[in-house]
Amino acid sequence: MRRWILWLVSLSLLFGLTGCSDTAPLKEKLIIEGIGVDYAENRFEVTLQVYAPSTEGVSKKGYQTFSAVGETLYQALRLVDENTGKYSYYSDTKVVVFSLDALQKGLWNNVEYFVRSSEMGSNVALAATRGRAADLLTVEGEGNNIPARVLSNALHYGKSDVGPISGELMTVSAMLVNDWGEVSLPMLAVEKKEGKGYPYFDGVLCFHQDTPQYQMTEQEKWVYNWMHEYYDDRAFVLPYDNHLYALQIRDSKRKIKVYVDKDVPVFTVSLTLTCDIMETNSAHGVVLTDLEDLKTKMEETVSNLTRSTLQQVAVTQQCDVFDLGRTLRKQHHDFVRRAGDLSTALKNSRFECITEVIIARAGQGSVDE
Amino acid sequence: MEQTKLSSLLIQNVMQVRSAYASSGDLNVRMLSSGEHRFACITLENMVNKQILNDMLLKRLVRQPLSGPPMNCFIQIEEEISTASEQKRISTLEQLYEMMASGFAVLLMDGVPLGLALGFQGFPARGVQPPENEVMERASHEAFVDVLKLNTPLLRRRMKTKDFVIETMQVGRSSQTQVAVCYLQGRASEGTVAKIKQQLRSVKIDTVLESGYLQPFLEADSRSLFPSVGVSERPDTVCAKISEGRVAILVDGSPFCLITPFLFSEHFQSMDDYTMNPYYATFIRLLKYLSFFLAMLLPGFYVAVGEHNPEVFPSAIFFKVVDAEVATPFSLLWEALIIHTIYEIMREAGLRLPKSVGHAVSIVGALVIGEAAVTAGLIGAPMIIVVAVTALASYVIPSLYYPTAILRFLFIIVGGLSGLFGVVLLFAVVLTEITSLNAFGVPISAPISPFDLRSMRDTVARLGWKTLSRRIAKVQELHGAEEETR
Amino acid sequence: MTSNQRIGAGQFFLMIFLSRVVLTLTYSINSGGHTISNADWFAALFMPLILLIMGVPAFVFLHHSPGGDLCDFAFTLGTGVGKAVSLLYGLLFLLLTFTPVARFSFFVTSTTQTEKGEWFFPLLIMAAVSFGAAKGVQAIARTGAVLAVIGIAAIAAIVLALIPRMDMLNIYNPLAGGIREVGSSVLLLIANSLELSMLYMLAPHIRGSVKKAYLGYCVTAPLMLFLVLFTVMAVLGPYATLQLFPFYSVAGIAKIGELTNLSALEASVWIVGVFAKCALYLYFSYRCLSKVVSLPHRWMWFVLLGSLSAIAAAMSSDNVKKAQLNFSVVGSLWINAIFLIVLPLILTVAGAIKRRKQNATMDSMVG
Repeated sequence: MRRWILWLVSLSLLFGLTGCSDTAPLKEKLIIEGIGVDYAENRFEVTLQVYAPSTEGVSKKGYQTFSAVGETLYQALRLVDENTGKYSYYSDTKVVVFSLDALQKGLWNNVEYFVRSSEMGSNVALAATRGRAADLLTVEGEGNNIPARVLSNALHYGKSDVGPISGELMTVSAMLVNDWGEVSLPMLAVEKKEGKGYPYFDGVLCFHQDTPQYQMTEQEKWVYNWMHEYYDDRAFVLPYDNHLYALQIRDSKRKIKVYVDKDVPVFTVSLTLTCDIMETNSAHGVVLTDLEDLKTKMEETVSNLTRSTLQQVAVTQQCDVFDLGRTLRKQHHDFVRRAGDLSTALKNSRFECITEVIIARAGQGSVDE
Repeated sequence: MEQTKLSSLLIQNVMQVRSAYASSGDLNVRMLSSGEHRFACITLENMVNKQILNDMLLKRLVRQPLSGPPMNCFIQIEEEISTASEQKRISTLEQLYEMMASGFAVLLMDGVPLGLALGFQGFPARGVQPPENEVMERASHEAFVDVLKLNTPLLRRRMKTKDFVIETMQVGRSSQTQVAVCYLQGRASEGTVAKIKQQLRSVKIDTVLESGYLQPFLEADSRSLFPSVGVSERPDTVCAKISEGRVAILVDGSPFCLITPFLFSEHFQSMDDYTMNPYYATFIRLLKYLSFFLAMLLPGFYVAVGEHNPEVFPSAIFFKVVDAEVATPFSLLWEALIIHTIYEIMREAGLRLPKSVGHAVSIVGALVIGEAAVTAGLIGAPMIIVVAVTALASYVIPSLYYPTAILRFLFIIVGGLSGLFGVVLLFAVVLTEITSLNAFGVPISAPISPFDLRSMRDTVARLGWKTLSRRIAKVQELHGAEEETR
Repeated sequence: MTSNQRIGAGQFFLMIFLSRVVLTLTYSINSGGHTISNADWFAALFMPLILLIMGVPAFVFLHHSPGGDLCDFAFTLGTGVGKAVSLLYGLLFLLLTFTPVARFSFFVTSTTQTEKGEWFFPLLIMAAVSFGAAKGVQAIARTGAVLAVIGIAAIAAIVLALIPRMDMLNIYNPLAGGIREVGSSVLLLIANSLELSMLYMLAPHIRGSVKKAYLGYCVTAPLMLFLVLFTVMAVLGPYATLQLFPFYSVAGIAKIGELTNLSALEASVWIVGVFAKCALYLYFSYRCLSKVVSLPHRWMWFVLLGSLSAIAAAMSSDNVKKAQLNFSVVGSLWINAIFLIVLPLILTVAGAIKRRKQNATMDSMVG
């Protein structure tokens, strides 16, 4: 008898006093799918895109938008809770978009709350926009997809002219706390233009403490793809011998080795590109050039392009969008510690590039031997 | 208990029997003479086949007058006149009452302090029929009946070895119910058999009407939700268990045989497994294990994740759950409790109702729960799916229905109050409860834990007969079984 | 213990392995100020040898022990000694009971269920643990064996799912931070090796080869440590230093089919591991303390000790400063040294001296 009383009392205490009833049910939660962060007049403005359950009278669109303004990001987010009377639920958040103005207040200032939040997933996509982040959350997609999901899918899987850019919360934060003291961060710029409902990618913005932002050039995007082994139907147009050859890259592999020569890092990049000849543009009809010749020319072109780009970015931008700092740290950690300022070390670096091109397919057509 | 010896005086014996059955109207006493000797044939109404009694005994006695000393005549009847294949000499009134109640005709003779119990039973009894609860696709269609004497031949026919022992004993002060303890000598543990018999002797129930009355006395822990004694109405299943060193207990009046020690993994085994292709048998076994977990855990898991850990849901399902929950007035916890309670009410009603009215229950259930509740927005559609899957899964293993039904509610409550961690913790507690049970020295969680590789060939998977026949699996040889049971 | 409390060597191996798994999953950046780095997985490679060495005092004790556990052995040296040792080890096991509960409570109230009070999970877990402990060591060992296999499968699934997310650029020379960093990692791993105390309580009652089981543990536990720590570093890189519970965070990134967040799986493995581990330690605590004090009924012990553990766990996890004590490396190292090495060796030596004296006395009487 006493044992039953003990159980009853224990269970009552357990469920009565310990706050187990404090959990908010799903209907009292704001299921946040996308967050837009803008900055104006010394205040953060957050726009939350929230999933709206398909009940009549609430929203036929499938989402709602709430905004609030605060001195800090956290304050603004809390105000949304207070204004709506619901609890924010971040575990399903797909994307966070920052305006350039907000990012210029400092990357850590913008991401710190999300990093500390226990609910926010580490693989939430981050993106930047030149316009207002709030506007970006109104892009349309196919069917009834929530704009934030459309945006997130586009960031993760969409075909942009640059491959997957490091835009996850995890990778952004990792770069902020790496032990070589530099911040170098490429972020996809996403825009919404009048007349175009869907999001489109408008270049890559790179962030660095000395260079708040600069836009990646076409040339840098090419090199970025090779350096990150991203191929995905990239077309490479090679002007050669009065012809213009379109070559589709099937596969790219790269190896980077670095050695330190009298305190100067020397990077040797080995690239292997496998490609198909898709198109030739010749005044004399369809002619298949000597493949060896074409291969050699392409190898030279890629090597020169890579070498010059790496050098240029290291010198002019003090920015390490190609992850060379991590490679240097991995292979020569002691040098990085001694050097202290990686920016200067990279600036003085030398770059070499060796490319091997493998032509996998040449398509139909006669072979003129 | 003190036994009253029969008197040499016939009239005294008859008076005592009449006195004992004074209030009962079904006592028959037929006085007759054969030669110079007087006899009394005592029976209970409709317990004896009167035609056979008349033809095989009474006519012969009357037509063949006996002479000589009473004892000689008694022996002559016993050895020459009576043609009963089963007869027993009795010497006490208590034996007389017992034999009469068992359908024997008892012949008393004046001058002899003995009686002769003759097996001319003719009481009404159900014939051997197909099993109702353990329906198999490809196995025998015989099930036990209510009469012990008709059940033991069903086993004896299948276990023709002389090592197959059927020991009988009585339990129940008033009912004096016959119980048969069946085992294979040399294969079953002697210690286990002795303990079982001792447990049965220690049963103090006044009236034992069903094998279920004795089951708690044989369980490892009668307070536990999980049984360590199996029940079967199939003779082929019982024989299979006996051949593995287990002990079967048949109770007169019950078509359900008790089997012990009974492992937890045996709930997932059936006769069909051994007659099918081993690949399919293994697939079905895995399905059964999956069904068990679904039946026990699915509602609690759904409630726990929906209320406390929604990040576990893939996004598409998450939105469906949100849509459903927003539209309903109750929380997931209350929805689950209400709907499962209604389901149990329906199930119980369906069991008790006559068959002719039975399908009205299913129509009402489908309409009320399936259609109206969802349309009215009282219950969410995902919850209906959860209930449906749970209900179907729980019938895959009928022997575990009761524990899973209770645990299901526990898991729902714990999940609703404490989330996924509470569900997982309760699962660990349930697992501990199962592993703590030892049935006569054999852990019921074997051969999964303690792990026994050799026995795993017929636990989750079912290997082919060529492999299984290489070694006789004995329950007391499992890892973790106590030394005394080996 | 009587014969109905004997466990198999395989079960012992799985229990001690599960205890280590729980500790590994609970690795936190608050661990005594140690910051996660590549030195951690490197340090795991030294653990087989270190664990072997750490097990030597236990096997020396077992060799000299007549058959009982450590407390029984202490009683052979005198009632006072026996009670003192039983009290000390009883309190040690009580500490080992509430510490994982406190860590888990701190974890869950920091991550997924922040709205819950600090009492909720300690009470919930200790209610279950007390039930498990009351069932006895056989039931706990059997349950722990099953849970360990499930846990191993879950961790393996998470690690495999994370392979596509591994970036070898995050893995760099573990000696880059110097020998000190590696040494600090080794010390942390040693500090988390208190599960060796199981040897002193369980070994005399194990059916099968204790040595083989322990050897298996010395190989597999560091391997598991290595896999988990390597995975965390390879996937998260420097981001791991920002995560309170790195393996939990990394499981949140793992993806298997439609399941995009396996952090709940990791936390579930964690809690069942805590259950099995703490039930065993609570049982040990009961075994030791019941030799010092007696209570009318056995169940009262589990209610009392369970309640004390719940209170201790709740009070030690309600703020960050107290939680850091739970992860203290220095404190754990001292406890390791005293309870796993010093005390057992003193008792073993004292026992050997006493036996020698007794033999000498008997020889002189015979002579």
